[in-house]
Amino acid sequence: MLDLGSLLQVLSWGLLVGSIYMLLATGLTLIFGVMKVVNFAHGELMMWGAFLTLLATRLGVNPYLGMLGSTLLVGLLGVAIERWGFRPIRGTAKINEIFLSIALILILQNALARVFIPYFREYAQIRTPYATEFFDLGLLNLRYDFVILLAVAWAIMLGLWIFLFHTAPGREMRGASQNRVGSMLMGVDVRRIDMLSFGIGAGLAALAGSLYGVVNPFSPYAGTLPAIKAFAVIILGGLGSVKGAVVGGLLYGVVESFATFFLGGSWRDATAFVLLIVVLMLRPEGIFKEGG
Amino acid sequence: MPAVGAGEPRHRRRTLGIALGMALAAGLPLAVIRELFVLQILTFVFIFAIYAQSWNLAAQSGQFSLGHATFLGLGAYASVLAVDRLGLPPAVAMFVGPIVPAAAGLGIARLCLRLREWYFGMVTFGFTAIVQVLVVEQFGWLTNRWDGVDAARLWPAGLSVEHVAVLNYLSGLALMVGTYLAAAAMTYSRSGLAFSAIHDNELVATVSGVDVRRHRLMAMGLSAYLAGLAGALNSHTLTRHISPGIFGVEDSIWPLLYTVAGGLRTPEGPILGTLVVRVFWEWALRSLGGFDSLILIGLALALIVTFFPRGLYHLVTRFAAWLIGRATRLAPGAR
Repeated sequence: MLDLGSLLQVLSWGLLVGSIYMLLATGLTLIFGVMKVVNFAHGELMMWGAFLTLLATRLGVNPYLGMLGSTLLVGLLGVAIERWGFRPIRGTAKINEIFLSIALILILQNALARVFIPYFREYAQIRTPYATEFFDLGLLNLRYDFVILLAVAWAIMLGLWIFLFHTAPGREMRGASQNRVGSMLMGVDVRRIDMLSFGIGAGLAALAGSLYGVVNPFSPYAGTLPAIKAFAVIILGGLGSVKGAVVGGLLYGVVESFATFFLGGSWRDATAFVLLIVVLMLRPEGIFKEGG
Repeated sequence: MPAVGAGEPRHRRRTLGIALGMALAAGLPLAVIRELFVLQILTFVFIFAIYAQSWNLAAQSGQFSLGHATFLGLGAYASVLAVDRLGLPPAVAMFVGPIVPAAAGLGIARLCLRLREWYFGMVTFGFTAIVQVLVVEQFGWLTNRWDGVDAARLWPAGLSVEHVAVLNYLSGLALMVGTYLAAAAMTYSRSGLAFSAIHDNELVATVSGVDVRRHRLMAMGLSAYLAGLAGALNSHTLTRHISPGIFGVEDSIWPLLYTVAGGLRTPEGPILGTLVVRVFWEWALRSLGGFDSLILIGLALALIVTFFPRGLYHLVTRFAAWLIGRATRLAPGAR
């Protein structure tokens, strides 16, 4: 069973899942970098993204077009959450932010379940027009969707890179992430940057959710675990580091995929945490330090 | 915030007063409550207040665990299996079993000595996932894998359902008050001051001569023991069964939720928080049901943290101070 073909299949699956983790983790790390807040409700934003895309496909819109809409909508929701949720508790105990994001999980998850369950029962999957088409690469069969998914994920990452490194708001965002007070003194309105980064983070979560929904059946509760893993990814990569989120996300996807293949399904989640613990024993602040 | 002044008589009096008040306030209604489910909900509150207290103890030394379910679950498993395999009586196993999570807590704290804040939280969370797989796969012969193990009842056979419910209630109450006294004694002792110092700034604490390593280990060891005790008590009284589901995300979130709502780093906060949140939760579930109740609970929690970021107990102390201030001002000849 240990032939090159199946190894390649496992690797490609890992890269695929890793790209979804990468999008989730990048959103989390952008938010953390600027606001020093970890939004545990990231997985719920993700599932709202998947759900809105699902609705769009049911209305006859191409799913990859629908994703744009759901990304935008959930991004706006993120802006609202920052403005009326996290901003008021800024400066109180750190644990309060975890508390608030747990409250947000309850609200977002059950609000979604309330509209989801009556129509879709337990699980739904986003159907694409290319669901049955394959690229046959000899050793490896790749679904069209997987290729499109990878292309979308990486195009978005490229766009984000251009935004962060070649536009004025992107520069301000990196500045606020490196030194908040310094940015304020330079005349940057960091509160606007907070809203912007939360909006982009939430949008990335929605996109990750939509892609997840194309690959897997999802339920309103399916976002919790991926979000926690995305959190583990940004810890692994170094909090606040986008580079860390990309490397960590892909590494996580691949390691998980191989662990499932070699050790069996019940080790899938635990192996990822073993990796995290080993890395943190060696580098207590992650692979790339904060602000990279 | 824990007030400074180790072992002051004022603190001792206040703590004893509150403990007595809790025992009375919870003991007296026994004479009138006849609904079993009310007793059960309150027993649940007591047990989870112990659990929240244990989490708070670790948090006092700056170790914000996101994986306390590890200790809750290990305590339950160890105690239940000690009854099953070693033949210990449940009342003894309940106190011996938690040595296992205490050892695990020491080990995890030792591994995490260099980690802080999020890094610490995530690793503790990771250990829960790892312990779950170990319990299911490596110790499957002992733990019956995903099916879990039935737990022996704390009380001898032959008692009526009502008597058992009352005894469960009383034992939960007694252990909660005991844990409260222990936690308060800890908070106001020299070690409590060391915990606080480590929480506020580990570097400054080290420079001031606090043995950070020893105190972090001590806090986690104690905390894990108490969490294990709560788990053992829970499985011998309420759930009567233990399965790997206990190593889930939810059971790690509860103590954080209860403690922060009640008041972080105070011995009273975890108890008040557990009581208020849990009773509100049960009320919402019963009156609204399903998704709406959970949305409402989420909104209520968000409001609590927005308007009372220091927890509900802070509100109580402020109200008490206001009352006392008013009374002294109104008393004749006060000036």
